[in-house]
Amino acid sequence: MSNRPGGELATRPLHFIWICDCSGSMFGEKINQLNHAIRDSIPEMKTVSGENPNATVLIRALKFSSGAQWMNKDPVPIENYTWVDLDADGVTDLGKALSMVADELKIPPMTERALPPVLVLISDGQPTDNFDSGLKELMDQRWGQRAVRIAIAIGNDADNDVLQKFIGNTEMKPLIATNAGMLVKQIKWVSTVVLKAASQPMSQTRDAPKPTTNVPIPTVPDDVTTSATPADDVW
Amino acid sequence: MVVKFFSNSWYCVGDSVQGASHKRNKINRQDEIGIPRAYADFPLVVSVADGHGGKDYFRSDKGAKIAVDTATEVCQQFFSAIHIQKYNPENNKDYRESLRREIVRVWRERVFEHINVLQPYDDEELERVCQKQKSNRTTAAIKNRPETPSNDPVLIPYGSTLLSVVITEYCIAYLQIGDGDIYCINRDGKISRPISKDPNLIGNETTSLCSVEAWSDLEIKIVPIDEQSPPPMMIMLSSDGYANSYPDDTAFQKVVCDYFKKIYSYKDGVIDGITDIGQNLPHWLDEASEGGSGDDISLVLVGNVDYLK
Repeated sequence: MSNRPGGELATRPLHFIWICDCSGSMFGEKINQLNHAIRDSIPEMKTVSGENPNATVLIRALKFSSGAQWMNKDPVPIENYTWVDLDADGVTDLGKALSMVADELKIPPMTERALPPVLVLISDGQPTDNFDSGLKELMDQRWGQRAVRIAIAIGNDADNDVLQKFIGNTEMKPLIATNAGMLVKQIKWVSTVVLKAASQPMSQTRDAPKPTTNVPIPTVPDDVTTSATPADDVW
Repeated sequence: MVVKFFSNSWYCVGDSVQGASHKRNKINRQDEIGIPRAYADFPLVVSVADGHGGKDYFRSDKGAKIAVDTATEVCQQFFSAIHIQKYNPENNKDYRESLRREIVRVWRERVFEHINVLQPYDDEELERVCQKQKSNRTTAAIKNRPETPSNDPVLIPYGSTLLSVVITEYCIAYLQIGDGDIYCINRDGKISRPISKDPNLIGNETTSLCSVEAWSDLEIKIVPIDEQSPPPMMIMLSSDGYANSYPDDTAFQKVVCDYFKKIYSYKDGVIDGITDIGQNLPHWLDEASEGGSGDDISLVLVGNVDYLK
């Protein structure tokens, strides 16, 4: 037995949160494809996580429509995570969703030693509640400011200005999914490339060039941002 | 592994290991430690520096080495010049101001020298450096403080933290810029941080010697030594990879206390305790990195045994 000074060691937690629009406009193919894409991404997230044993990837999902609700409020290690299919109905209370995320990013329950969390917002519409207030609550939290914030717009009706405000970095644009194939690619990119980058961050100086993300995110490949077959663009 | 004894009163032990994730990704160790030669005279200077790593800081291992060398040389000259007969605690503010400017100035000068003389940037490196955008703190900072050296982006690849402790007969100085930890075990057995943690730095954020206002981010505390305030029994400096391998501050403070207990648990004397730590340190630090943060880990323990006499 080691007589190493100190007690039990701990890897660094990496909180990954899906923030999903479940409003009525998502009903049908959009929500079905969203469920399919995220469910299919879980095995690859497990692989990415397994490549870095020094980070513990913890997953949560929050749905918003008329109000917002955690699918699992307690973070679940990726090894044990299973996706529970979402239904669509109601309006688009994104402000409420961001407010609930803000509560979970407070220190505590978060620790200062965590890796920057990853927040992935997926929406097809425009907020129906006070989005600015929810965003302010999120950005008032130190981990809210430092989170890697990615947004996926489903279809051309999504409010890209809102999604851009959520991202908070002009160099990073919302990903726009105009068909099911693009949504799958974008979810896969976020859940593998972004997750990998976030789990192995290097130090960032406080006055690093702005705007920037707290974690250097690789450039989004063209095939993730552009539809290969525009004729398939149905959203 | 380094174990050094400086006199009947002071000892030092330290090491620096490549992080588990750096081994997996074939990245050089970016940390560095600085420890004086055995039986060196006062002032004794010990340091830990942590190069930031990553693509923006592609020479941070060199920056860390320059940081510990700079701290050693500047602090030795500075405190030798003050000397015990001239030291006046009322002047601590002036000492701090001069020292922080001098360390940042010399570090930058040596980085420029390294780039210009020893290892000029190649075309690919130059392109990466030129892609750097201007910091949004730059203009005002430079305007208001024209004496501050330029925020030349060529410095950024060398970005590093620096933790140093200077021990003289008359005072102890603690210096810190960036993440990492300095802890003391005081004569009353209590553990303390001579320099408070910066509450604005969480996760992977840090201040840096390559920052525009590095001189103002460099925290310095000078504590006089006299009969009423004897030196701590042990001082521990470590890079952030060590604390990040434990769940929280309380868990990490147990590490500090355990080192202290190990040193003094040998019935034949502290030398055995210190030597034992020195022999085991590389394994312990490797184990912490593998089971914890995956980052490089550097540790320097410096202690005083006068109170045992």
